[in-house]
Amino acid sequence: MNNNNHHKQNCSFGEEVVSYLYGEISANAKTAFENHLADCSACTTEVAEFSNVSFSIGEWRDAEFSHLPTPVIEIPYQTARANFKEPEITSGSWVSGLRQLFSLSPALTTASAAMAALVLCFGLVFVAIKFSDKTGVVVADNFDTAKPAISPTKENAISKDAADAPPKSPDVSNLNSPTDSNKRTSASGSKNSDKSSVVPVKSIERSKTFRPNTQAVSPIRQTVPVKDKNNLKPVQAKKVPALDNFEEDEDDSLRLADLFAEIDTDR
Amino acid sequence: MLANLTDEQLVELSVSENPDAFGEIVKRWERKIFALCYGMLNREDEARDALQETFIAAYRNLKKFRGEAKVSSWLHRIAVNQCLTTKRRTKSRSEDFLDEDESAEDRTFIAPENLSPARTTEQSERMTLVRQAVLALPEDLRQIIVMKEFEEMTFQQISDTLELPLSTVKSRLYTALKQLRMKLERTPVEVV
Repeated sequence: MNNNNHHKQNCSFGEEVVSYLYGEISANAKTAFENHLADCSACTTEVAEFSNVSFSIGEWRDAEFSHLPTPVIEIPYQTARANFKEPEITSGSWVSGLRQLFSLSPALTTASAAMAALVLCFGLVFVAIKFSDKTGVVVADNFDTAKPAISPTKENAISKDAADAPPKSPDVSNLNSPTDSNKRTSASGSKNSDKSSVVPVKSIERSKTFRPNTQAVSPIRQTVPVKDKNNLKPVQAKKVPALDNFEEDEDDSLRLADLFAEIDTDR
Repeated sequence: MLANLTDEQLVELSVSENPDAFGEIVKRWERKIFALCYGMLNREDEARDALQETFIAAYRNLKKFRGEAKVSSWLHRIAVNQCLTTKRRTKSRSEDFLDEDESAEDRTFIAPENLSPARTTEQSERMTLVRQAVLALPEDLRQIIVMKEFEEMTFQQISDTLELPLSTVKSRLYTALKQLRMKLERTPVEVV
């Protein structure tokens, strides 16, 4: 056998062995190979052994397969037509199909979770902005005389008492910043009210907001025109943008200015 | 009438909503494809399922058939892919539950009636050895052995089906036969 193998390594008739074995060889090649077989014992042995293997496989096929009836093929024509998207290889098990239905790739799951968290964060930020907008916290800023305009601060700073005043004689002093309105409110409280020198906090809190429609007002930074220079300073105020154009929208929220006013009053 | 048409003509007819034409294709190739599936899977039930799935998949993809290859080669390719899928599924299942070859060992061997009991036993043992040797072959070699021995396909048909050069088919068959010979030599069977 070793001699045969060694001899076979130098033999270039490898493909012809199988072609000859299965009868798929041309007449000329067959003649040439048979002439070679007469001189090459390795190829002769190989052909004989391969023939034996092929015969054994044939026996196995006859013994185990040949008697099997051909299965009846049932093509569900309607279903098959309706589902042309399905790939060539399909799963026969309904369990695996069910498993595929409920299985998500880890990457998809992670991406979905990240997206949900992102949406939640944006939602929280949006709600926070909206909430701070409603509370209407007003912060006094530097004075800017170059840009006279009607300040939204003024609108927020108007007390209920002032709002209840007759429209023909508006108190200009009420159209000022909350910082000044603290002092002013105290002053006006002493002027207008004889009952008490303490300005009730509630009356400050319940201020009215109104905005003139005729002028486009930038809600970010506006200055207030000062008419009473003795008592009031023009104040530049900052307000969180308002999204609406409502008039006389009642604002019940608590303000820093009101708290300062209360503290001042207590003193 | 359908029997006179070529496979390619039958496919065209099937695409134009004539199911009978595809039925003729099934009738022509089911036995050969069944042999291929059985040779690849070596289990009758799995071979039946693979056969069924092969023709269903072929029918679903009839419109994708461009006619670049023969219908028989196309069907064989689908069947080979189906068998490989089935084998992967069976392998993963058997890793969880039981050994893959257990059922093959318990297989009943139907011997010809004229054989003596001793001869029957010997032949049964030999069949088991051959089966194990074929199943132990690498996938690419086994495909070619099964196509050649079970389906009796020509080298050219195997080449077309697997889209391999003719020389590759021959060299793989040569390698497969060589490995089978070595495996069967190691466990010689006493010849009566």
